[in-house]
Formats: sequence, C-alpha cells, structure tokens
Amino acid sequence: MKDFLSSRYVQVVLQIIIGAVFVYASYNKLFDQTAFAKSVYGYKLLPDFLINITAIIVPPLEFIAGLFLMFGLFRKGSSVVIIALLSVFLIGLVQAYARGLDIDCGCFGSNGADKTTSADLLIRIFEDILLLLGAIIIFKFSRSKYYKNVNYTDAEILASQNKET
Amino acid sequence: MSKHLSGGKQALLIFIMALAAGLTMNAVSSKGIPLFTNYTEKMKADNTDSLKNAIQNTNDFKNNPYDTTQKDKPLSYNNNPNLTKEGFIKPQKIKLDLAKLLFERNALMIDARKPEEFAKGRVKGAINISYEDYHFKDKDKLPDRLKGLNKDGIIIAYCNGGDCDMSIDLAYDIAKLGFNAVNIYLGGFKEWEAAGLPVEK
Repeated sequence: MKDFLSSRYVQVVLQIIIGAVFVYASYNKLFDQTAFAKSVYGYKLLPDFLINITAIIVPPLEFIAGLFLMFGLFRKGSSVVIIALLSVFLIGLVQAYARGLDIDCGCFGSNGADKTTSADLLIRIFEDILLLLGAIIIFKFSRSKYYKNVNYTDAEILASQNKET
Repeated sequence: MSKHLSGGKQALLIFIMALAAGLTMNAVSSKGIPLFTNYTEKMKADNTDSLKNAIQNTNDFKNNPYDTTQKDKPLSYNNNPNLTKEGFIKPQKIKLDLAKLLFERNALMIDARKPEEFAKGRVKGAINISYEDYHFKDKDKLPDRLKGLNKDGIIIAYCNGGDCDMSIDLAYDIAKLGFNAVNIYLGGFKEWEAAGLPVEK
C-alpha cells in the first residue's frame, strides 16, 4: 500500500488534480475581495477583525499553493498549506451545516447573493474530505526527488538522517 | 531548492508570498476592501425610536421621491443629525416597524438584489437597483431610475436580510449622490414577506 501511494504516478496525478482544483477555486476570488469577504462573514466563524484579512489572503494562498503543487514544487510546504486550508474549510462547512446557517459557500468564487442549499453543503463537505485525503497522501508519501531510486519516503529519510547524527 | 527547506519553512514561505500578493492585489483591485471592517456595528440597527414617534405624530411626513413639488425636508433631517464629514447624510438602519410605517407613507423602496431575485418577488412597488451591477460599474453616476427625483424624498433600500449587506452599501452609494433621506431596512425581503406585508411578482 505504501509503495502504491508513494509511486510517482499516484503522486503526480494527485498533485495535478488537487493543485488544479485550488488554482481554479482561487481564480474568481482573487479579483473580488468584496464578495469573498461577505462569504467569509456568512460563516459566522471568525471575529470581525479577521474577516477581511482572511478574504484578502486566502485566495492567493490557494492559488500559490495550488500552482506549486501542480508543478511539484515545495510539495511538502504546499501540501501542508492545502491541508491547513481544507481543514479550516471543513470546520466552516460542518459548523454551517450543523447550525443551519444560510451561507454563500464561497468555495469556487462568491456571488454575493446566491445561497448554498444544505444539500450543496453536504456535497462540498464530501469534496473537502476527498481533497483532504489526497493532500495527506501527498504530504505523507511523496518521495524526495533526490532519492528517486530508493523506496523511502521523505519522513523515513529524515528519520534515518537524524539517527546518524 | 526544496531540498534545503523543511516543509514548515516551505509553508511559511508560501504564506508570506500569499500575504504580499493578497495585500498588493487588494490595493489595486476595484473590488478591494479595507483591512478591517466592524461587521457587528455595520449590521446593527440605529436607534430610530424618536424618528418613529415623530412620524406617528404627524400626517405630513410622507415625502415620496417622485413628488417633486414637496420642498420641505422630512422631519428628522431638518438639522441633519446624521451629516457626515464627507458631506452626505448617513443612511439610517431601520427595522420592520419603521420600514412598514415609511412604506405606508409612500417611501420609495429600492431592491438591491440581482434582477433575477427581484423578478421572483419584491416589496410592492419597489424598483430594482442591483448593487452588484451598479456599485462596481457606475456608482458615481446617478442611476437612470433616480434621475429627476426629489432628493429629500424617503428612500428605503433592502435586500435579503440576514447577512445581506448589499442594501447597506447601496444606500451609502445613493446617499453620496445627494439623497438626504435614505434608509436601510435590515430585515429585508424575507422578513417583509414573512410578516405578510405587501409583495408582488
């Protein structure tokens, strides 16, 4: 199983899919901070002073991390960022669903007025979990390209290096 | 490059890049936002008790923006208690009771939602100035629908209620164009409809 998950093909396919989803998701939000701030506000999760700054930083964060992941750059770092983002989104979605909040998802861009139904929310939660699993697989099982021919994950290499020193 | 940076440092670098990019894009974007907004304050109704009492005690308070013969300013705006530094009169955020009262006194209702939502149902007699379509395109121009109107006439902007703040932002746009009696009905169409007040399709 570990060999399969850390195989180049699985890794590259996951990187491209997840990276592309993030780049696509960020695209509409990058240029419309106003609408995305309204979506963030709708989740009723953050204190006022964090809402606008979140709306300003999350879209470029999605874009940069997604782009890096697509091209296999900074795979550890970009997958960590994506895991963190997906975890926060998951908390937001689940609590909105549980509280029955009338939100505009803001997942793939915001359009201010359109509301996300609770059935849509469940789909979004499901998508979020799938993406999260994929990102965790990249984080845990991606092999460093400097050890291409060795069957170790970065974590194992790091552990062995630590042992030596 | 990634050989020398741990995952945490890579993530930090990505975060810093995103912060720089985000702040830059927000500064140049036509839809940029301030770094901080006090949303709690923004969505809170103003205290309009004295205004409500004053209106209830007179029958003269019925300025309609379409009525260009009426030159007297509405009661509460006589000494411009809400005059802002920028020189416009701050819109008042009102609740259902006052919105209903002003509606009965011929206030002009402006629906800030999108045309599709407006078409599905609106406050009776409301006109549609979609915030999304208007604000980002020509907010410094008087919308055609407001041309030639009495600027002291009472206007009530509304949207869906709840978290919807398009009516607030639209009301400020309109007030900045020189309308002196702009109100924002926070409860919005949902509350209005649920209260059984006049609607149309």
